Amino acid sequence: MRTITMRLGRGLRAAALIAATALGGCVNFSGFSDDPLKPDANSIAALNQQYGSPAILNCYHEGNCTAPKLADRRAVRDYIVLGRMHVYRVEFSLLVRTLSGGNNVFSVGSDLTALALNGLGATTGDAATKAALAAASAGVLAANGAVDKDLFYSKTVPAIITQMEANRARAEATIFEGLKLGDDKYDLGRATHDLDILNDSGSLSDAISSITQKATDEKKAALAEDWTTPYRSGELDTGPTSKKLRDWLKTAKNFPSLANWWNANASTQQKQLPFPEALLDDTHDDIEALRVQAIKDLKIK
Amino acid sequence: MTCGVWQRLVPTDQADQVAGYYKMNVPPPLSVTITPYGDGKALVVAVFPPCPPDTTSR
Repeated sequence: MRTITMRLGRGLRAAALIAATALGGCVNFSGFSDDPLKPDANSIAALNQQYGSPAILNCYHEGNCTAPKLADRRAVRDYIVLGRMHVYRVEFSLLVRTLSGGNNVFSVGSDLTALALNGLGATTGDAATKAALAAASAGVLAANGAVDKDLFYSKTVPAIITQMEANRARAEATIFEGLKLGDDKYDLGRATHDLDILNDSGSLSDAISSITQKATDEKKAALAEDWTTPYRSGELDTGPTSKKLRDWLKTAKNFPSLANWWNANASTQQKQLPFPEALLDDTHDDIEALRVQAIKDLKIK
Repeated sequence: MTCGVWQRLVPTDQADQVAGYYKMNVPPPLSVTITPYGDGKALVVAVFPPCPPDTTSR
């Protein structure tokens, strides 16, 4: 019995050692490989100094540089811009690691949580994800700020990171296009403007803003999908213009006049409505305006 | 061209007249039906050929 227990214990220790070796060697518990350069606030500050110091900016304005050796303004510009892009990439990478590394490291307010979840629920992921996000959103609101962090982080953060990466990729593409141009067409001032956009693109607020905007656009698109929908059903208009036109149309010979008027005055879209039914019976304001115009033009008493 | 399904909720005594208006469309609907709706009203439904894709998009 003791032998079996000892063997089990040894086996468990061996398994733990293998797991620790495997994880400790190159992967931490956030799922990212360890960065050998281990950037921190100091190293980022040093990089910022390297690519943003007065000395390097002087190099740019003078059009040459000895240390580092850069031949002309374009070369200095490229050095500065690519360097700053590298800094932003490092900062973004750190943010992603922080977001993904542990649920209790990064704190997001409940308002932001609800905003993110609502936006994501409308736009992102498969049906299961949407359902989970909607449930999480309801939970956030119902519990007045209490959020299931496991669900939040496992479902929401990857979508936000994806949106941030998409925003960053778009901003980076703009800069790379600019760098193809000479300094006379894409100077450091313009590049700095694009760099600022790149910097903002890696932010949570920008990602959530994009997601919310996407949800709004999709909602608008859905509503605009078929303009005829509101006209396809409704009650009978009982106003004086409808009554006057119906009475006038009881004389059969008047119909061709009304049809000609319709063809000349209805918009291309309105001509997709059933005629004369829509003109006589529909309650929408634009149709009422047409009735008023028809009565006036055709001198209907 | 008019396509799809259109319907109007009308007082029963005006259902025939509204159905007639639908039938005056060029080209006319495939069918027009009048269904009692209760409360002195009737539902007039006109069925035109199905809408081709995107024809009614804004």
